[in-house]
Amino acid sequence: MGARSSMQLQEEEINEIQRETGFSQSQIVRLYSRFTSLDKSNNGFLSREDFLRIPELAINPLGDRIVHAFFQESNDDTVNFKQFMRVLARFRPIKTNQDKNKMNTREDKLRFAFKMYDLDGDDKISKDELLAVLHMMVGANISEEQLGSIADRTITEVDYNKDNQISFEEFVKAMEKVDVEQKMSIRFLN
Amino acid sequence: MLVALFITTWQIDAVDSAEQGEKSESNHTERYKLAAWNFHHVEIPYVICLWVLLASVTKLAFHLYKTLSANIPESCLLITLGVCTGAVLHYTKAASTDQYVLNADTFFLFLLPPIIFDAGYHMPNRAFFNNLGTILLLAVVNTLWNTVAIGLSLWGMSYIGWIERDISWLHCFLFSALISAVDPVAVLAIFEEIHVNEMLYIIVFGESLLNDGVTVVLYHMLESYSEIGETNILPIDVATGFFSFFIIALGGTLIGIIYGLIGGFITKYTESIKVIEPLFVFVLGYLAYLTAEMVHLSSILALTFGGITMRHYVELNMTKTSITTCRYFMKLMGNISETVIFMFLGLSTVVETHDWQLDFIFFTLLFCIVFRVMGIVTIAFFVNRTRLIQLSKFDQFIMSYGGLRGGIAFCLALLLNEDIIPEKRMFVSTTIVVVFFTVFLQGITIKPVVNALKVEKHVSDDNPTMNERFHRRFIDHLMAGIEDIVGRTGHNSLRDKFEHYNTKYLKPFLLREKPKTRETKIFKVFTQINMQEAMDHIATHGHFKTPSVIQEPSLAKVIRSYSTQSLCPSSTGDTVIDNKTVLDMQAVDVYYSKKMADDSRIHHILEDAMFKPRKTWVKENHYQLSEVHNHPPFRHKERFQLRRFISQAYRLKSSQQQNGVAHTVVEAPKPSKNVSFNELPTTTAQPMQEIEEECPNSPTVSDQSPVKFTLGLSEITPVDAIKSPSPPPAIKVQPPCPTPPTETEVEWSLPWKRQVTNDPLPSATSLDMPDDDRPLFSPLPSWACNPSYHHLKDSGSPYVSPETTITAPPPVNNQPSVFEVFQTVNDDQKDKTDNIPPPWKENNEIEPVTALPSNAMSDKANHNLHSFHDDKCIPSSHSVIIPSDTDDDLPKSSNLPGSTSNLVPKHWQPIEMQSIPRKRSMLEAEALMDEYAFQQEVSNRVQKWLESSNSDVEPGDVKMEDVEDVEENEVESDNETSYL
Repeated sequence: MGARSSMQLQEEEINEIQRETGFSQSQIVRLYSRFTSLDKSNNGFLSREDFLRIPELAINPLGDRIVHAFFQESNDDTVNFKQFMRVLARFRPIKTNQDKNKMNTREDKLRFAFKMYDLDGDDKISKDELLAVLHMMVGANISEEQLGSIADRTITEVDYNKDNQISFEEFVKAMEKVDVEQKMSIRFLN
Repeated sequence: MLVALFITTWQIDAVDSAEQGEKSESNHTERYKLAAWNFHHVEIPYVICLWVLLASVTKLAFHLYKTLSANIPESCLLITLGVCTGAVLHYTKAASTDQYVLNADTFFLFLLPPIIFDAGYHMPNRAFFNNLGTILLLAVVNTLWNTVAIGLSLWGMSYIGWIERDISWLHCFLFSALISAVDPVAVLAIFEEIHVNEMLYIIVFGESLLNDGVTVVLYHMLESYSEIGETNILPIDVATGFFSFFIIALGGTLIGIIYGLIGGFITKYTESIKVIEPLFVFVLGYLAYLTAEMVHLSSILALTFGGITMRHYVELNMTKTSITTCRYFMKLMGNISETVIFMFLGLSTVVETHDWQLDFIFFTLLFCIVFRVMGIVTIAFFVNRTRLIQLSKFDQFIMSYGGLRGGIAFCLALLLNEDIIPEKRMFVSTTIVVVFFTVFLQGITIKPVVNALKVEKHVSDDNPTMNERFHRRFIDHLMAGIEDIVGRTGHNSLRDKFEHYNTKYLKPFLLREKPKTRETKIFKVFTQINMQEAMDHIATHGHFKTPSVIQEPSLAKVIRSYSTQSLCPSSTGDTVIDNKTVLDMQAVDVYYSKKMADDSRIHHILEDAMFKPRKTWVKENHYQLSEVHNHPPFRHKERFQLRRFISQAYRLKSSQQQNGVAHTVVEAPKPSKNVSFNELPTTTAQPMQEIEEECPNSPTVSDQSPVKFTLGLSEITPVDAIKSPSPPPAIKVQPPCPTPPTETEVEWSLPWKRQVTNDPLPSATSLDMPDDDRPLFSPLPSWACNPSYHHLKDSGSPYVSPETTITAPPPVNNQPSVFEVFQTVNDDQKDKTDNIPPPWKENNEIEPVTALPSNAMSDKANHNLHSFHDDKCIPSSHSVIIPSDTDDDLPKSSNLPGSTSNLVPKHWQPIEMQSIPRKRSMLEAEALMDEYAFQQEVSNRVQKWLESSNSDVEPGDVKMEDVEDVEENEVESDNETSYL
């Protein structure tokens, strides 16, 4: 930790991250500079405030939820660089060379999205969890009833085991036709 | 016919006046022609229509022949058709070449805009903007590269002599500028048929659209350079040309966006005139195009972005029909334009002015292909470094292969000035060859190639599930957030930002309804899915169950249940009947609900719907009518009529009172339009009177005992009860209650409710009623003489046939005046003449009604015993009719009510209570009257009276009827009135 506060990224750390996440060295260096620029307090980890300081996130309806996703990785209120990279690794584009794909398979991506819904971690998206996300996305102007019916509709559509919840398997099935590989990828600069 | 003649004449006149000069010399006067032939008058639109018709029919035939359309693109066929037609026209000398060669102005002003607008409007926005970087790079860099490379190579070939013609480098560049641009029309025509994936399609098509900016710049720049002259070009001209590119491209885009926003703003206010909504879309789009063309900006860019912008806002403002109209019409126009363009391309090849320079053509083709491929591969290489979705080799091949040339290049070549560019003819011919080559060879082969390369096909996502839509949006936001966190501005975060500000600032300004949320698509999908399910449901089940109608057991059940409720309390036998009744109604009022109102409504609807044979009865004459009357709905109508008569009677009475003709006793009712309790006597009195007239003659009354009618079956049986009270000297009309009975809303809005309140009062109460001082009087209810319901009364069944229902509003004011009226009658019999209901009396004076339909005497009695209980002026009480035969003054003659003006009205005469008929059979005989015939008689009489006082009928009378019924039946009842 102390070493990181000096803005230096150790070689072995880079290698470790590279092994784990599949990012290239240059990508890691680039993202590290981003990480440090976000880390206003300069203490080697990011707090929620650091994330929420990003101006664009303020207008993102799911901004809170996205930030929260970073903290699911760690159990405390901070995100260090490794955890940061681990989250971002999900959004690497899928390479045709299978060896290079780490943490960025279709299932990894879907699992990440699923976990963003599933706040209580019971591996199911309940109606309330769905409603919460819906609320964030559509804002406050839509009536509760309407949102409720949409949530119901969404659940019943894929609720194959009739437990009124969406399990991960059901979620994957629901997203069958969506090109998640492309949608949930961003191009990281080298 | 007349119009046609007129037009013909007018044409002849016009022709005459035009040719008057010549004709005056020859002194030949043109006579009027029977028919005329003036093709010139309609030539231009006529020919256009013929062309369009020809092209469309060919298109149709082409698609009917499946094997052909599966292998050959439509554009190829249309060009072929054009060539054939052109050849025929050319060699038969039917038309000169000028007439069928594509006119560049026509092309740019009329043929091109629909296609471009259609393309821009239906642009898949997300794919377009996600790939905008690649598209722009291709459109600008690749087009520039192609122009420069082709121009240079051609000039080089010419310079080293491989092309025999010596062409100046400027002209080479001019030609290469027009030939290097990929043509959106051709690309659209081909790519719409091969269904490649959206990304590939949008890259090729987007390039073809956006390269217009570059092409326009280069073309105009080089054209003016040619005019200036090769040697006179200054560096400033080059610099101007370079910067003008930005102005032309960005200016065109800006014009399009501005017009798009205007479109959004205008449609914000079209709510009241929705029909013209699509008009704004088309006019504004065209204006954007023309404006850009006017100031030499890129008109295609203007139209494209105009379409994109406009759709974004306009479709949120317009109605669904307008949107459909817009899209459909746009597709239609685009399709026609495309058809015509390709056909004219074919036609235009058949000219004599060709200049086939084969080596030039060959090298042009070669360079076009080679440099296109080179440009694509190079750009793809660079683009792939930053693209998330890589452009594969196959993609690059299709992109190169899809570099089709078309009508734009051809028209630009046509526009060249031959004085400045002597090689114009060669350029035109070469362009035609290149266009044909790309459209035919590449167009036909691209489909097999795509299939062979297994290029990813387009997957339609027309029917996304709720989950897909929902999670996609979720992922969009997520990715935008991730991009923000990573600090890399990708299209996700850009889109998110645009949506944010768009929703926050632009949409409230441009949209009719302030957007409630950004996630309109989620709701759209939700609605869509629900609609789909509803349709499926209907398809499988045939109908939806509407609980309010179908689950209701039956109307009769409703009636019964409510009648029972109201009946039970009244059977307690309170002496104060009227109060009791009122209490009843109020009690029922508690049960009043919306459902009951609905029932009432349904009742009326049903009743009116049942009315059918209007035609038949309208043709019947007055006396034949009685048969037709058996149809219940008609009687429903009849009641309206009667109601009208009542109101008229009332009006007449009041007018009489004003004239001081009669009725010193009857207090002047308030001149309210509503039929109130006050008016009741005037209408009911008449039948009563007649009853009394007829009764003496009937065998059943031969014992000269007065008949007392009571309401309710049980009332009839206890003769003793009737007998026991000391008979009043005259029939007293007892108002139900000194205090006006409060009729509840239930009563007047529920037909059966209304009926119920007047329905058989329990015997206990009715027995109490005829105490000597206050025998109650009221009209006999219809069921009293209706045999079909007679038996029901024994059981106390409250069932009432719907035809006796009342829909009138309750009497508004129940004035004590009524009471006084009848009180006076009892007190002073001498004045009875004055108490005759005004209408009848008046009627009598004017025209004595003597011609009663020849019915049997007994029938007459029945006829006269008309129940008005179905009118709104029913007293909420039970009544007794006591005709008295024993009265000495009783006229035995069959005087009609109108003619008895000198006589004491019988029903006012005192009744000897001892002589009240004891024979139940007689009472029953009276009661067992046929209601239909009875009603008929009454209406006849009323009609008679009405005829005499017809002038008094005013439309305002109708107001007294139930509002609902007035709306439905006003006209009909009027018809009936006049007819009756």
